[in-house]
Order: sequence, then structure tokens, then C-alpha cells
Amino acid sequence: MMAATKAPLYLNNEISVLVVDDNRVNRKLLMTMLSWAKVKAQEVENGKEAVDLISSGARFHLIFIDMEMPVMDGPQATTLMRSMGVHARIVGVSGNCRDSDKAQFMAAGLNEFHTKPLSRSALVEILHHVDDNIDNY
Amino acid sequence: MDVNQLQRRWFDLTASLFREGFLDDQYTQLQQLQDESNPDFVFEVVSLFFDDSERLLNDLATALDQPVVDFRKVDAHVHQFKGSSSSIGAQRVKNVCIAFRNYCEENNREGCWRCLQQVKHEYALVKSKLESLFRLEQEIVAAGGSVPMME
Repeated sequence: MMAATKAPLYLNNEISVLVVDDNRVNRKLLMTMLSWAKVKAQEVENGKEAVDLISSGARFHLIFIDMEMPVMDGPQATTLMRSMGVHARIVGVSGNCRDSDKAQFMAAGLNEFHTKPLSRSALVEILHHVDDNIDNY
Repeated sequence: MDVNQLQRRWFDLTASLFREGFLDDQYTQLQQLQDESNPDFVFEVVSLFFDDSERLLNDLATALDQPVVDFRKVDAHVHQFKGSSSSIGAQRVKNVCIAFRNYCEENNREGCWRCLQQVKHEYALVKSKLESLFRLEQEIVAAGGSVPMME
């Protein structure tokens, strides 16, 4: 099959990423985009799994987290992760949602919010930001 | 049929899928993620979508068929469906899911039931069209050609 035209992505640092989403189509898409960017990533299916992973000692520079998930949703998990001292850049992702939901999610400790599906240009911008400010995360 | 003819058919079919609103730009984004290191990416992710959709359609029919409908459960299934259809660019399926969620919020069983029939219909259409597209891509590759890209 024909390759797409795409500029390579150059990062100065090895960025570790966690993808938290209960939808496996969404996870596959984001994991493939991260793999294209040659970024090391792990995936989990809900907020509780993310919190458990971090409690077990895993550390990430960047976390993509869905809003609506079973077991533990994005805002709950984000609040918990921040209370555990997680400094990672946390990016909330969701389909179209109400402004009040988005505000509540941001207040839980997100650094930024994007509507799903995340575009490749948005991903590149986020990765460059983390790469340029790696010491903060 | 030679490669050029197959590729023309591919362009026509793909263009009609976009023109008729079955697919949106997100599908183009998927195509752009496919390369030599990931040659079957679009097929793989769309196959996941097919698997999940069929499970979700069954779950939705079961949930709406209960004497007392748990609309939160129905909404959770529709949320999943909306997320995956949006991720592959199945625009018409996604649009029905948006209306479906509104009926869930209103606890409107009739509205939900109508949306289930609509989403089943739209899903069957887009599945059949994408399967035709994938068959055509296989024929192009088997004939020694490469699958074009939509700009």
C-alpha cells in the first residue's frame, strides 16, 4: 500500500506516555500515532488501572486520558493522580461534551483538553511541548 | 481489469463514500498513518470497529428489550459506539449516535429504539461499502499496483 507523505518527528528526549481509554479502537489509533512518532507508550482501559499503574511505581511524562470510562472516569483518576504527586502533562480527550463537563475535567488537574479523535498535528504539538519542557514533567 | 482501471474504481468508490457522508476526514487521517511499517493499519483498525460494533449492537438490543430499561447502560454502549465510529471517520454512524445519546438522556425508549434501527442500518451500509473498498485494494495489490491516497 502507498505510504503517506509525512515529515519525520524529531524529539530530543525519550518521552514516556500512558494512554487511558476504555475504547480499543481509540487506543489502537492513538498507540499507532505514538508508534509513528517513535514514542514509548503503555495503554490501560480505565482510570483505576492508570492509578494502580502509577501506584506501583510507573512514571510518565505525558498521560492521555479519556473522560467517560467505566470503573473510574477521567476526572476522578486525574484528581487522584494529582493528589499522588503526578507531575506528568495530563491531556484530557473526549468526544463532544458539555462546557461544564470540560470545565470539571480541567479543574481535576488537566493541563489541556482536546476533542477526540486527536489529530496528528495536535499530537505533534503536544509531544514537542513535552520535549521542550521535559524537566517540568 | 488492469491496475489503472482498478485504481479508477477505487477513486470513484472512495469519493462517493466521502460525498455521501459515510466517511469524513478522520478516515483520511487513518490512511495517512498507514505506511510500510504498518501496511494493514486501516484494515486492522476498521476490523476492530466492526467487531466492537456488532457486540455493541447486540448489547443495545438486549438493553432496550428489558422490561425496565437502564438508560445509563444504554448510553454507555452508545458512547462506545460513538467513540469508535468517530475514530474511524464513520460519520453517519457517529451522527446517529449523537441523536441516540440525546434520547438516552431523556429516558425516551421509543426514540432510542428508532435510533437503534437507524444505527444498525447506517452501520450495515458503511460496513458493506468499506468491505468493497478493501476487496478492491486487495485486487489492486494482487494486480501489482499500489493503493492510491485521497488528498
